[in-house]
Amino acid sequence: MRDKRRYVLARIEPPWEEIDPKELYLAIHEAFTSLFGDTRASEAMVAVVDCRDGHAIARCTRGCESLLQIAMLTVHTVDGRRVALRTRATSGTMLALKRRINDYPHSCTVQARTLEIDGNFYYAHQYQGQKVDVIAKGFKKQELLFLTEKELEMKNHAATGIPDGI
Amino acid sequence: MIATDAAVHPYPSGDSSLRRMALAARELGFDSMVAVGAAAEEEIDGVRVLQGIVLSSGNQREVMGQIRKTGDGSAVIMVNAGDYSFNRAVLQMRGVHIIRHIERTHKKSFDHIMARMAADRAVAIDIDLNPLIHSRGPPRQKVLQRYRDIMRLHSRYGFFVTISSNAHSVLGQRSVRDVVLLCSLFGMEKDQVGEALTTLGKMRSGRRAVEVVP
Repeated sequence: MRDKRRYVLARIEPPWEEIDPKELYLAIHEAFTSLFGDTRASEAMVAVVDCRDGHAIARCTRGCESLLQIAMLTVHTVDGRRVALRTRATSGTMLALKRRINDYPHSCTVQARTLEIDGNFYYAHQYQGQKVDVIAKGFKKQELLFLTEKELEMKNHAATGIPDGI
Repeated sequence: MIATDAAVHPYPSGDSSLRRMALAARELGFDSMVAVGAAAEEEIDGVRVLQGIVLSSGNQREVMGQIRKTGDGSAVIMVNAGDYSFNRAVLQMRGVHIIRHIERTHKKSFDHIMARMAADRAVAIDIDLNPLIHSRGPPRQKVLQRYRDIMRLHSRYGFFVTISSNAHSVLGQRSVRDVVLLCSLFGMEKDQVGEALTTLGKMRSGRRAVEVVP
């Protein structure tokens, strides 16, 4: 007999990160097993059924949805990339959650651009109006900073207290 | 203040600007937060940002000296917990608002005597969500055990409890709903979480009530 299932919708932050559903599944499964053990993980039958537009839909058996939500909260890296999963809704059907994703298209719209600050070039992803994620490309590592449009507009960048622009 | 995140670490100790963290806090259901290293108390995008000072010295005299230097008392002063005698001394100091990182200390460093002292002196004990999110295995089990002990003492002696994300990035901040879920791991009820999130507001309004205005 087929078990009753529940679907959990989560927003992926930052939304411009392209996350592989398989890697996301592995991260959620690892978090679930680490928190609740193999027995509960086998009962929950966690799966990632959709991952697009900065959102992910995970599936579990009915009764395990709050455990799945907690496990998703403890996911902090997927495939070596830092992310946060913000759970938004739980439903008995995938269709209802897909409708909810479509209700918030503005949250997923990401504008990529290049910025020049003090002679240095940076990649910037702007979304949700004033959020700007700035990636400073270095030789050894990529530095990621989370700023707002207001701070970038300030010529001397005094509000962030960030020396040399960023 | 309805919901306060008791500690966030904006740039330069973290990777997110203060304004961005305030924006994230508002979206996540908080109306105030304590920013460690913030220059002054201010309101950003509808979120009250309180100035937070963390004292991490394990020496009582140094901590006392640092408290004296902090000035007018508008900042939220947090002291990292240490051994039993240090914690006991900190509880007797004036000006300390929160003791944090109890989970990193020995099990006997915070007992029923200290719980009673914390309740009498209105010093809050902080529940840090960061190790619940970022650690795995035995370290997290130890943290959950310590938080369970703290909550047991809290329900008996009624001292203040605060909840902090201790986030160094917007990715580390969690919503009020998420906090309720995470705190359920160590048996904290929704009402207790709601009460803990309002603790700083209560502490500050209580402190203002005894101010003498000429």
